[in-house]
Amino acid sequence: MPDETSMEGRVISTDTTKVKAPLRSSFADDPEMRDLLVFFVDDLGRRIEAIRRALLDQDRAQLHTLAHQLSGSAGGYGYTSIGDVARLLEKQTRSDQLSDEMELSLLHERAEDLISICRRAISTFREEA
Amino acid sequence: MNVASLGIDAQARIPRVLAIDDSELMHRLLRARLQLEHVDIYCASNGDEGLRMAVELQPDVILLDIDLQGMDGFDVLQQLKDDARTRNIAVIFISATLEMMDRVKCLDLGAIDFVHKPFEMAELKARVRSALRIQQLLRMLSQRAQLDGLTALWNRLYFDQRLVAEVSDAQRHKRTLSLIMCDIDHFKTVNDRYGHPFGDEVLAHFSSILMGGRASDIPCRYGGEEFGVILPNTCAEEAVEVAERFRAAFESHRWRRHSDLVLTASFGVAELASLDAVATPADFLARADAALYNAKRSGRNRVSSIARPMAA
Repeated sequence: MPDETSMEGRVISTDTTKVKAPLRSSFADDPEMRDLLVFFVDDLGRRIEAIRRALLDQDRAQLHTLAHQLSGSAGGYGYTSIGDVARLLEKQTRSDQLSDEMELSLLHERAEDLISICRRAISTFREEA
Repeated sequence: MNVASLGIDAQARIPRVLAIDDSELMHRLLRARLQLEHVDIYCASNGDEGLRMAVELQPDVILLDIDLQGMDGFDVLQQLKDDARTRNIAVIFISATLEMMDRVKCLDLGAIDFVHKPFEMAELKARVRSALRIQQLLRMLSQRAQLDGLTALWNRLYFDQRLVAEVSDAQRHKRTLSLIMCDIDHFKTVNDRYGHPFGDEVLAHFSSILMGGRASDIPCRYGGEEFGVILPNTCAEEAVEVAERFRAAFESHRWRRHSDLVLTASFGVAELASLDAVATPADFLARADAALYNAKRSGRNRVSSIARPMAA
């Protein structure tokens, strides 16, 4: 589990130093993976937007799908930690979760965590490109 | 033996892998990572699409995500196993949330293996390779059970099943279908006079002639010295020509150790259209048999076809 999700996933999402910490794919130096990573990082950008929209719409099912797709595949692109954070959001958006106020705030935290770690991956990737 | 001429295409085809997963991210990843495995990879985004593609593509292996939206992976697996067209496809389950009981359920439903998500590509590749190996062995076994050991033609079991299938297909699609039944003349005398090893050589040679016919025809050993050739999309006139070529080829063969020996065979041809619409495979076979009997009775070494049922 990466350090930004320690403390049972409670992360202060306003911690801007964490946002700037680089996050590289473990396949970043694999030429075979180059095109795939471009595709993946582009997808991350679109996915952040989609997560934001789903949060505004309070669309749990959509959040679940977005997180589920990422949790299963991020590891395959060399971003194990993104997969881990996505999995936390995936669990939090299961339909059998109670949706009281505390749970909702936790859900928002998980979503912000995911957005934040995706941003780190995007900016690291763009800087290296 | 010429495997291709028997319609066995398993060895020639590049193995197909169908991934059923609701994430485009996963599709891209699998396509890229499995392309070096010499497999053709196809992707479906949901259960319905996956089932449809499974029927159309007849993949060797399906990678099935259990957490699909709508119809989940268990439902998809159940439907794959309920359909004769997809039952024998090897299914590997992929899931992030497989509890022990889920794994048991997967395997009990007929999945061949499962992989935990996120997976290491090396592991997934190894499991796909292993599933492909098992598939190939199963296919070999099932073909072996349908091949005649001596002649390498399809055996009686296969003939019976295929005839039923072709008759129903021809009737449904209003296509022509012909059947040649044939028999080596005086085969018992050959066996008695020259011994069984030579008899076997004769059977094998006759089979090789049948096998050398048109690629779409289905030559089978019916039993003993009797053979059946199913000819889809073929009318009686064409079937008679095919049989006549077989007949001439067999008669003109010179036997290595018995150079002055001439062996012959008789052929009976029937066309499905000459029967009424409700004719059964058994009626069809009886008609070809009657034609063969005609050929025998009228002097052997000839091809006979009957336009109408013989009077009883």
